[in-house]
Amino acid sequence: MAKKMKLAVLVLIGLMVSFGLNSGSYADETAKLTTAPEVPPALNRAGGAQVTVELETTEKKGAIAEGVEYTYWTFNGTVPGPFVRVKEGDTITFNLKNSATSKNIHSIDIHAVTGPGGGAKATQTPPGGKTAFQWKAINPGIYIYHCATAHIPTHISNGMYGLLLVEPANGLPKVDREYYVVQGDFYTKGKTGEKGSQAFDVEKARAEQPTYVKFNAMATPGNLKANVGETVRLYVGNGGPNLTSAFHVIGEIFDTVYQLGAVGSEPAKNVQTTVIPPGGAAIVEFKVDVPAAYILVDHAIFRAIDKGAVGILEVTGNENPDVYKALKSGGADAGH
Amino acid sequence: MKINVKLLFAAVLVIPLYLTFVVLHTDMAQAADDAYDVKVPESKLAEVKVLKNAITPNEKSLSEAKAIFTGKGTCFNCHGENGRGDGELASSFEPPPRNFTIPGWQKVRTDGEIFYVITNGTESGMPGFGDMLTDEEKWSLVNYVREFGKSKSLASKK
Repeated sequence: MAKKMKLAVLVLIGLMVSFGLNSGSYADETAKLTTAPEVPPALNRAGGAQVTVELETTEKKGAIAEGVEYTYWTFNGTVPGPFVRVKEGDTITFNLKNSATSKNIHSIDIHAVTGPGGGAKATQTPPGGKTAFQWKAINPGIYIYHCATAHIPTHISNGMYGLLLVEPANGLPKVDREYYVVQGDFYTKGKTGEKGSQAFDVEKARAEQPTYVKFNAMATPGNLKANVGETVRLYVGNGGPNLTSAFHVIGEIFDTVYQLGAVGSEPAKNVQTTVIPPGGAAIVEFKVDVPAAYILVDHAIFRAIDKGAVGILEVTGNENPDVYKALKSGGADAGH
Repeated sequence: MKINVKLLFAAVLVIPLYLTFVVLHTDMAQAADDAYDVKVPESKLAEVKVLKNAITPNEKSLSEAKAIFTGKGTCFNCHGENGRGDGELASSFEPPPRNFTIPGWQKVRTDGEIFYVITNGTESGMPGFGDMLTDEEKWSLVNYVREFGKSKSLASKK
């Protein structure tokens, strides 16, 4: 009888350990963060994990155009800040550190958060300080996060924004490439292209007359890349603070758009240009059929041609004359 | 047609002078209104006004407060290193940040009111430092703010 009892206890302990290990598959994990235009890999797990995210606010000089220097205010030293990827149902412990070298208080308002100020109330962080809050990712979608410390428009104007993806419970459909792009409008004392160190101009910002409009203003340089035949997904945000983007890729049609980042809604199909308001985001997907340099623009086109809102998706591979071929080019008898 | 030279002279000289006076006076009155604007909510004013400063100022505490003012408190960004409300970010705020050197303001605002504003911030954009600074640090800051109203003070030293 005693032997049977011992056996039962052992089995019970075994079951408890096994249960504990099983629930351990949802054990703490630290979110992998990426600098634009890179995106962390899809989450190959169910929702419900305990996830830790850590960001640091810094104030850092960088180029805003050739020969033009600007002091950006950043999350993790880049504009946009890192891409954060969590899953519907996850509980996130969010830690914010403000660098001791910052001159300003900073904070974060994550649009995916249900709670006071989207986290801003709990994260007003002085230079050298640390704050934290915990939240549950209830609604899937692609969300802007931004600093929300007074004077809020100044903090956003200086580059304090980024994107956070709450993957739906079943994930998003598989694609070949994912990239991360955020548009922002900038306001410098000097005119567009005026060389040297340029300070923020609050009057131009109030008048909503930017000197620069940029994609990924201070992130990893270089073109986005894809091969012919691949499907590309772009997570496109708009930090603003003022301009609504008419996001377009020259020479492509978006096969699928999660308009306004509304994952869960029926996506739009066959879209030429999608509207992305400040404090908003969208997900666009398209198959690249023809090799070319595809140009990402805000199709309010002065912003692209004259103020910098341009990016390039470089697609390489075999020509696809069924889809596109030039019939004549450049000759004296070519027409115009 | 006969022109009255005296009348013309009076019109040319006096009218612009009068208009200048009116404009300046309006600006000054506006500035004065802003300077004396009460930032504490009316419902709290009575209890806040009589709060007693817990820190007696001395060179050490004022020096520590200066470090907060120009450091983690980030006060200087808006109020300026000399407390004139002319910091680098001042132009972002409307109304502008408080100018602590106005003697009249120093006279009418109590320590308790300044402590309350440091703790809770204002509707015009100043963040509250309730979670960022200890009560001791805030009272020391109140003392440091007082220094800006004095002609010879630690605050005026570079």
